[in-house]
Amino acid sequence: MAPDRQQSLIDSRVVSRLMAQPLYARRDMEGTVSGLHKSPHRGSSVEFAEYRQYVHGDDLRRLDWRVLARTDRYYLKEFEAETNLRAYFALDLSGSMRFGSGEANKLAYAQKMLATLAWLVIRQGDAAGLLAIGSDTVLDLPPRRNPAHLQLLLESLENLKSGGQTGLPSGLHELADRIRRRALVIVFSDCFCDVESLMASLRHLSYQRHDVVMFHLLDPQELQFNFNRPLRFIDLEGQASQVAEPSVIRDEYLRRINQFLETLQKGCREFGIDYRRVQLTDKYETVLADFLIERSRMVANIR
Amino acid sequence: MRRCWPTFSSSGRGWWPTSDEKRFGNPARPDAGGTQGNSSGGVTFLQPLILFGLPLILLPVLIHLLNRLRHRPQVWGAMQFILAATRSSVDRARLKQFLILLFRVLAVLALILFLSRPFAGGWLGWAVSVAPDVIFLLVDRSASMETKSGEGGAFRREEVLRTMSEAAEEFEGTSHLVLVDSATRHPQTLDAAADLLEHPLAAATDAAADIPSMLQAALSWLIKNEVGNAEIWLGSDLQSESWRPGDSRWETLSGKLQALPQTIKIRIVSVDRPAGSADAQLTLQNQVRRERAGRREAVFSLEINTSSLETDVIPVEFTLNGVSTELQVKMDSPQQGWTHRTDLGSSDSSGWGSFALPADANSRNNAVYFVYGEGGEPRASVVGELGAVNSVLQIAAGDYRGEAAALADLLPNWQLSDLNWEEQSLVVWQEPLPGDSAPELESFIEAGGAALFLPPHELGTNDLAGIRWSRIEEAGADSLFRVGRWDRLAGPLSDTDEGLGLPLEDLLIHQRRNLTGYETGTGAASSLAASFRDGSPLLLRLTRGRGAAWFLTTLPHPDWSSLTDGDVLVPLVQRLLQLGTLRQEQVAYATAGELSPAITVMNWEPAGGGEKDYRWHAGVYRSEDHWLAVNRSPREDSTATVTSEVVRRLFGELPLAIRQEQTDRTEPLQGEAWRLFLLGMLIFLLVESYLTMPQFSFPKFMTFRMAPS
Repeated sequence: MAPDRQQSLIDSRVVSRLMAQPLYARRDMEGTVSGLHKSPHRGSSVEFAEYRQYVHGDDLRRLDWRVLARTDRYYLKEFEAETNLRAYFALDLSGSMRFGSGEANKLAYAQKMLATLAWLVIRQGDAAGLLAIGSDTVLDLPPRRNPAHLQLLLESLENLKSGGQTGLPSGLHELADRIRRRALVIVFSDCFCDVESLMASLRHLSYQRHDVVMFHLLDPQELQFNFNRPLRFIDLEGQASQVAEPSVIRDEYLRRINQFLETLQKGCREFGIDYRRVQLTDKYETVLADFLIERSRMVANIR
Repeated sequence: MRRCWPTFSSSGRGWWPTSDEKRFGNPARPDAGGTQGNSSGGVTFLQPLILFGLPLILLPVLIHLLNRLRHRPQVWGAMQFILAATRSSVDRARLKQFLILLFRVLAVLALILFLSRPFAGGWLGWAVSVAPDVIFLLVDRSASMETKSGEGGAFRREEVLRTMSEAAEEFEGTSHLVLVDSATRHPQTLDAAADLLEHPLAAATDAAADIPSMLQAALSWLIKNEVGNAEIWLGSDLQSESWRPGDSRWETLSGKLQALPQTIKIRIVSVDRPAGSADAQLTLQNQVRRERAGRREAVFSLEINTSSLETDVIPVEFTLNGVSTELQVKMDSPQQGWTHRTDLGSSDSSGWGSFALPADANSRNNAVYFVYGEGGEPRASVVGELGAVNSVLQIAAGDYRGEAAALADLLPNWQLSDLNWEEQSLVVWQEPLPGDSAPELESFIEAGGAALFLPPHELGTNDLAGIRWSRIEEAGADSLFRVGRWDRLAGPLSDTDEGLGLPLEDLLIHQRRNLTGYETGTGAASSLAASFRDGSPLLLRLTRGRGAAWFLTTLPHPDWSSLTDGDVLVPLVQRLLQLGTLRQEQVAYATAGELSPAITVMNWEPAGGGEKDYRWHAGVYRSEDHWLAVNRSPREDSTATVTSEVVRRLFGELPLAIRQEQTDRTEPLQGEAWRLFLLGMLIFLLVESYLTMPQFSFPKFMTFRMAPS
């Protein structure tokens, strides 16, 4: 299923290990076809839901004849509806995503995660769409289920370049306004923007009953700030630069970034957003495996 | 010609001034002439051209500014936190940056000063100075300077010479070096500083030092030669007896030195470290020669003072007329006296000898020398105001050698000028202390005569070396004054030849007249020969020159004491009479460095051969039939020293630097101060490194809060 063109983003060994674990949504999804995911509507799956009194117009094939024989009352036996999900992958394309102290930067790391997840989603029959958000929305691929769409998605993904200011909060607001049906929204970003605006946009999505996942990508250097000589810091999202003595500002820098992370994490927890902090030194395969397994357990517990 | 002021060059012929320059100072030197009085803060550099590099101290600032333009770029995503953190930390960052720059500038400054080879005094406070026209090298070459300092250390005198020589070497081309030694006190010009080490006038002597006299010699030379700035370098062990802090000359000296038109600076090289090993001193308390059964014998009272009692027995080498034997002296205490008798035979009328201790930290105080010869005629005179007392004293001081006893002469005070002092052995004085009214009496004592002073009826106003009579004390009927301790080993109250002690414990003393001034005023020159149970003196000895004055604090009078019984008084006075008679013998005693003119007119040769100058070195010397025993000055046995505070007080307002060996042993007297600047540079660099370490942070209390901008 993974064509040659996708080799740079999708590792066949990784997807072969991950494909055994489906991606579940934590919330009910509103799909167009049947699928793996719980729907807010009753359907014809094998999963019993409840008994309901017959009303005129109900399909007589769903009458529970056994109950009728015993009680002389008409009851319908209802089953859970299972539908497919539509996954929106929102990728932050701000300049700060270009940063990476190791082999890969945050954008490349996010591209690999996103491509792998998209592959898994489409393979299990769900729809995957892509929303690339720079200073404004750069690319908007609506969710589709067919492999040809995956091909398009991967090609588009591979050609994306980051730069400029972040427009993630406004992009997410726009997305929340646009998608009517419940969907899975997976955000890849370093979240280096106004945290209040970002939380507002995430809250917006959550209110729309979307299952929101936030992959917060961070470089270890950004968390540790281990520089030992004066540097001229050049902003990746603009032209600003600042000469600073890391040894002098380190404590203050760490205090502020930790405060930011704590605020973000606390806000996500409050609004039921699946917040996952990822360091670029983590193997993305491990990150995704943990993500999928935890989702499965979570869904199993709910059911 | 290396030394020069940074802003000028030398005249090319050296710094020694011409006759005009001597008067007005060297016009080419800012420290000479009338302007030099305030120039003590100037700096002398051996490489002054390097000082043109002083603008280089701005180099760190320039590099810092350049670096600000070329900091290594670092692209960064989380810029919002960098900006916020920088805003919060900007004050601390600026302070740290300022401190780093400051220490870099200081390090460069220290480096430049180090390379320019600043020339300065070796100890702080004299870190910078100008080259003087004259440097006086005052060398204490007394016996106490021959003590070895520290473990295996050099002699104090050698240490002084080495230190002075090394320091003066730098001034050879610029300053006139003048040596003033403690023995001759005649200023001698040195051609080179290295000459000081082997100079005959810097060699060891047994003479005492007289620091005020040495300074006086330097002062006279200064006045006579009309030179410019001068420094007086004085090497000494700060022995109190050499410095004589109570001497009235000090006030005059410091005043005159300060009043000189040129700047005078004093530097003291103090070699005050304790001796590295034990030091024992041997002193000859007295010597009596007498005849018994047709044979002559000599009785010596000696004393050993050792700094530490390391052994029970000390071997003493006794030499008589060139034949040596070893004596064993049992040491019960660090201060041990003993009496040695030796048979002089029946025919030999004169001879010489010595007692010597094994070598120790100071070999100069290990030997004493003696001579003996035909005795003089004992002759005593009594000067008294109480008839009853005079009679007793005349009897006690009588001459009993012949068949008929001869009483001592009695003469009134106003007939003193008629007295033939040369023939006198003992003067018994029972009148107020004479003071300056009887200079012959003092000369008599210093020439070796004995004087016994007894309590006068009237107190009087005079004193003798600070000792004066005090009020009369009367004992109660039931509590008479009792003698507590007296010297039974040596001195006029020592035990008899048969080992019997004098009955001092049986003395009944009703009255006594106390003495004052003997505790502090005379230092080691006075000693208690006998004391009461309450510690007050009964018999006090005051050493003056070759002789001694004795103070007896009670009278041989029924109202005063039972001395009239004679069993104590007669041996006491007779022994004093014998002591005084020694000076009339055909032999002479002298103290090194203090010889009388009468002795120096004779041609003295060392009795044991060799080449020794009898004026400065202890030993026995012979001139035809006359013998001369020269011993070290008793002043040199004193271990008391003056403190640096006392020294500063003595020099008054004069600029003074003291290099004390105990605290500053390795620092040279005068030399290049490059070490100071090198050390400073290292310290500055270390501090700078610490400040630039990533781990460095200001303490909590230095946390700044940003003022709203």
